[in-house]
Amino acid sequence: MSWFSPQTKKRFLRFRKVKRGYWSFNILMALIMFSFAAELFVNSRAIIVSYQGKVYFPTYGSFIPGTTFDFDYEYETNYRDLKKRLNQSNNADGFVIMPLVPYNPYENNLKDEGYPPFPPNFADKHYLGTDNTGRDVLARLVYGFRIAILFSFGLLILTYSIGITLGCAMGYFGGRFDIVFQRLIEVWSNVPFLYVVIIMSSIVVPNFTMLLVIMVLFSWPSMTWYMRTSAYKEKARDYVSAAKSIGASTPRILFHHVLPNSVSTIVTFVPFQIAAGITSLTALDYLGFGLPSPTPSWGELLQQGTENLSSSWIVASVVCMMVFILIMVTFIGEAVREAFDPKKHSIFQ
Amino acid sequence: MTFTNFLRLIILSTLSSASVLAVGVKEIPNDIVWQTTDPVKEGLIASPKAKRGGSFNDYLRSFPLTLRQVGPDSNGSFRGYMDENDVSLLVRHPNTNAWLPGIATHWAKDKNGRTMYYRLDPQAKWSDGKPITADDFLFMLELYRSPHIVHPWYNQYFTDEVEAIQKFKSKDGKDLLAVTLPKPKPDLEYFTNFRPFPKHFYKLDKNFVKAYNWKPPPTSGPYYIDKVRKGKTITFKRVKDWWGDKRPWFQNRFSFDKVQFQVIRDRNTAFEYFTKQKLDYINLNYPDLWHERTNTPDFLSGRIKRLWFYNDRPRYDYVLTLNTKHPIFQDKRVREALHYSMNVDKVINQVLRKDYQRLQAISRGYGDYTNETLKARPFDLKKADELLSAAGWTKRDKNGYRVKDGQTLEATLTYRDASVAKRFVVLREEAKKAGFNIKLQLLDSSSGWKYFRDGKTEIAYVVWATFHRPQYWSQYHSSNANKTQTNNFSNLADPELDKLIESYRASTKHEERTKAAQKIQKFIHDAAVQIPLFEIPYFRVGYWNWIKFPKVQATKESDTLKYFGLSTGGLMWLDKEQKKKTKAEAKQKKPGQPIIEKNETFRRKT
Repeated sequence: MSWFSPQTKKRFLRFRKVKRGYWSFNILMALIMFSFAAELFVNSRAIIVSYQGKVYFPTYGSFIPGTTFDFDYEYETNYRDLKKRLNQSNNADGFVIMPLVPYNPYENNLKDEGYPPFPPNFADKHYLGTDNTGRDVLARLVYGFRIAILFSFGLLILTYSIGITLGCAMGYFGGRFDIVFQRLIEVWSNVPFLYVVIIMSSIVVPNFTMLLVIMVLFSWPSMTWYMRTSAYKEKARDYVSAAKSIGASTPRILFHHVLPNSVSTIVTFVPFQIAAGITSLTALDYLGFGLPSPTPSWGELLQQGTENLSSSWIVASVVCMMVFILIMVTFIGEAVREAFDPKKHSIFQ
Repeated sequence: MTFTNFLRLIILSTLSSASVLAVGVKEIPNDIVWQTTDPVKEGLIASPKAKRGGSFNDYLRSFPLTLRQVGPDSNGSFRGYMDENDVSLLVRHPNTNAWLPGIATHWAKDKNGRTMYYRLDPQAKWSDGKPITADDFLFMLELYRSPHIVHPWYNQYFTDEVEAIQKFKSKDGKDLLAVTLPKPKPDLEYFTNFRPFPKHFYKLDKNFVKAYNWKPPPTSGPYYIDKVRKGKTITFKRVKDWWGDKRPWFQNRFSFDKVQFQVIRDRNTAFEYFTKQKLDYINLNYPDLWHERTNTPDFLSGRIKRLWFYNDRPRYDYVLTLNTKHPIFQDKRVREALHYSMNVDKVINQVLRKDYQRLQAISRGYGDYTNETLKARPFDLKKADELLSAAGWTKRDKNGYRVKDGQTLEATLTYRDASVAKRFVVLREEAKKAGFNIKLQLLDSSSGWKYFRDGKTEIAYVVWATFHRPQYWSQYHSSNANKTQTNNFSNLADPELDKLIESYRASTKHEERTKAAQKIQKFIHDAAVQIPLFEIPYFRVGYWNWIKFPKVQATKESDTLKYFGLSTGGLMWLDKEQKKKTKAEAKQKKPGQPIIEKNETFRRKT
C-alpha cells in the first residue's frame, strides 16, 4: 500500500464506517461474483448427473449428447427431461441436480398451450416469467448483468487510463501542450456520439469490443478535465517544488506525489462511471444499436417490456433490477465522497 | 459537292430514314378487331347502398420527401396513394383478371404482337377540367425519357422497353393511340397499359425536379391533393363530377368527400389514435395487435369491428436465401440439411399464434404459373443428420456445433427488420440441434439491402415483392451471379436454369410460359437455395362501425383496406347517423358483443 499516502489509507477506513455505502459495496461485489459464476446457478446444464454408476459435471466443458443418457438425439442433452425421466423411475438409474434456475438465456421454452410471453411460474421455475420468445427473464437478467458489468469495467479502465494520463500531463506540463490538447478535446467532444454509433452499426454489426472502443473514444475527454485541474492545483503546491529541488524526476513527481494526492478526484467518480457504463449499454441495446441478437441484455429486455406492457413482469423485472443496481451505486458513490471529503482531513490550527 | 460532303449526305439520309422506319407503326391497320368488356357482366364489386360524403382518416409513418411522382426521393410509400388516383388506359378486374375500360374505351392488338391500339374516351378529364388527350400519353413518354426528371431507371426502361407511342384520329374524330414495344411480349395489355401525364401542367426543363417538389398535379382519378401542411397533414379531395362516375365500374365507389392523412411516426401511437376515434381504421395484421390489443371496451362491444379477409393473390416470397458461394453452402447436401433444420412450424404454432401458414415454395398465388406440387421441406433432424454425415460433417465441437477439417458449420443470417428477430431466435435454437451455428446480424434497411446486393450475405432474409407474373431473370440467371449490385443473392449459376429462364422470357404463349415457370420453380426447389418461410393468406383490419362495406368487403386482390385504387379500392362509405350513435355509445361505454367478420370468399382450399 505504499502507493497510497497514509491519508488515503485513512480514507478507505472511513469508507468502511459509512455503513450504507459499505454494505451496498459488499452486495454489489457479491452480485458481480455471483454473475461470474452464473453457470452454476442459472443454466440449462445440470450441476451433477449421476447416471448408471457414472458421474458427470456438465456445467463447464464440452456438451454431452443425448445419446449418452439413452435419448434418441445427438444434440445436447435436455437435463430437465433427463431429471423428469429419472424421477419417474424413482432414481434407479441415477440422479440429476439442476441449478436453481434450470434455463440458459438463449433457449426458447415454448408450450403448446398459450403463447409467450409467459407470466412468472414457480412450477416451471420461471421465477420472473419469460420474454416474447419463451426465454427465461431471470436468466437473461443475470447474464445481461454480467455482460453489462464487464462492459462498464472495461470502459472504466480504458477511459481512466487515457483520461488520467492525458489530464495529468496537461495539468502538469501546462503551456502549449495544455492549450493544444484543450482545443483538440473541445472539438472532439462536439462529435455527436449517438450518430456515430448509429452510422457504425448500420454498416457493421457491433460486437463487444467494437462497442467498447466506440464508447471509450467518446467518453475519455470528461475525465481529462478533472485530472487536469487536479494536477494543475497540486503542481503549485510546495511539496512538488520541494521534490523538484531534491532532484526528483518528472515521472517520480507525477506518480509518487501528484497522482496519490489526486486520488480522491479519481475514486469519487468510479461508481458513477460504472453506473454510466451500464446505462449507456442498456440505452444502446434498447435503441437497437447495441450488441447483436440474441445476446442477453437489459436494453433488449426493456425494449421488449415496453412493447409488451401488458406482460408487466418483463418491464418490471428489468426496471427493478436497474433501479436496485443504480441505487446501490449511488450509495457507494455517496460513501466514497464522504470518505474522501478533504474537509474531514484538514486540521487547521 | 465534294466527295466527303456526298458521303456525309448519304450517311445522314440513311440514319434519318432508319430512325423513321424503326419507330412505331405507319398507320392503324384496317383488319384489327376492336374489343371491350362489360364490367357488369364481369361482376361489379361496389354496393348500390353506398352514400357519398364525409371524410376518412388514415395516417402516414413519415411525411413524403416530395410530391413529385418521378425523380429523386419519389420512391416513397406516399407515391402509391398518388399513383392510385391516376387512371390508366385499362383497369384490371381484381376478381376475374379481365381488362376493363379505363381511359380507353376500346382496345385492339396488332398482328405483329408488339403493338396495342387504344381508343380514348373523349369524356375523360383532368381534375382541373382540361380534357385528357392522346398528347398527354405522348408527353408521358417524353417525360419518362427526359434527363430533366433525374430518374435513370425510368429513362432506361422507357427507352429500352417502349419503342413508340403515336396518336391517330379515328373517322369519328376520337383520339386513338398506338403503343409499340420493341419486341413481341406476352401480356401485351399489361406492358402497354400506361397512364397519362398532364401536359398542360408540366414544364419539362432543367428546373423540373425543384419546381414540382410540392406542386401536386391534377389527376385523372377520383381524388386530388387539395391541402398540404408540410410535415403534418395531406388532404385528398373528391373530384366534383368526376368523369368516371358515369362508368358502371366506378359507380357507387370512392364515396368519401375527403381523405385525410396525418403523420404519426409510431405504430403504437397510431393504434391509440385509432381507439380515440381519430383514425377510422387500423391495420391488425400483426398477431400481437390482433390478439392482445383488442381487449378494450370498444372492441368488445363491437363498436370497433374486426375484418379478417382472405385474399388470393401473388404471395410474397418470404425466404431465407442461401449463398451458394459460401464455403459450407457450396455442398448442396448442406443446403438441404439446413432446410430440414429450420423449425418453421414451431415458430408459426408457438410464437405466431398459428396466424401464418408455411410458405411451400417460391412464386405462390400466380395461378397457372405456380407449381402446386412443390412442398417445403419439413423440420426433420434425422434427414438433416443423414445429409450432413454424408457431406462429412460428423464430429461436433464442445458447444454441439458440427465441425469438419477445423471448420465449424456456421453461417450468418442477415435481416433488416428488428421486429422479426424473435422468429429467428427460435429458428436458431432449433438449428443448433442439427449442429448448425446460425449467427444473427441485423442491419438497417438500406445498408442491409446494399449488403445483399453486393452478394456478400451467407443467409439473407428477404421478402420479395410480387409482380403481375413471376420473374426469375434478375434473381436466378447466371448473368447476375457472382457480381455486385444484382438480385441474385444465391449466386446460382446453372446453364440448364439459364435456358429455362430465357425460354420463359422469350415465349409469348401462355402454355409455354406457365410450363417453363413451373419448371424453374422445381429447379430452384431442388437446388435448395431458398428456404420458404411464411405465407399470410389474408389481411386483417379493425374499423369503427360507422364505416360501411358491401357484402364482400374487398376483392381477391386486396391486401389491405383500400379507399383508393381503381381496380380494388373505394368500396366503403360513411354512415353519418351511425357515427353520431357510436360516439355517444362509446362515451357511455355501452356494452355489446364483439364483432369479427371473417370473409372466406376467396380463400384457397389447401
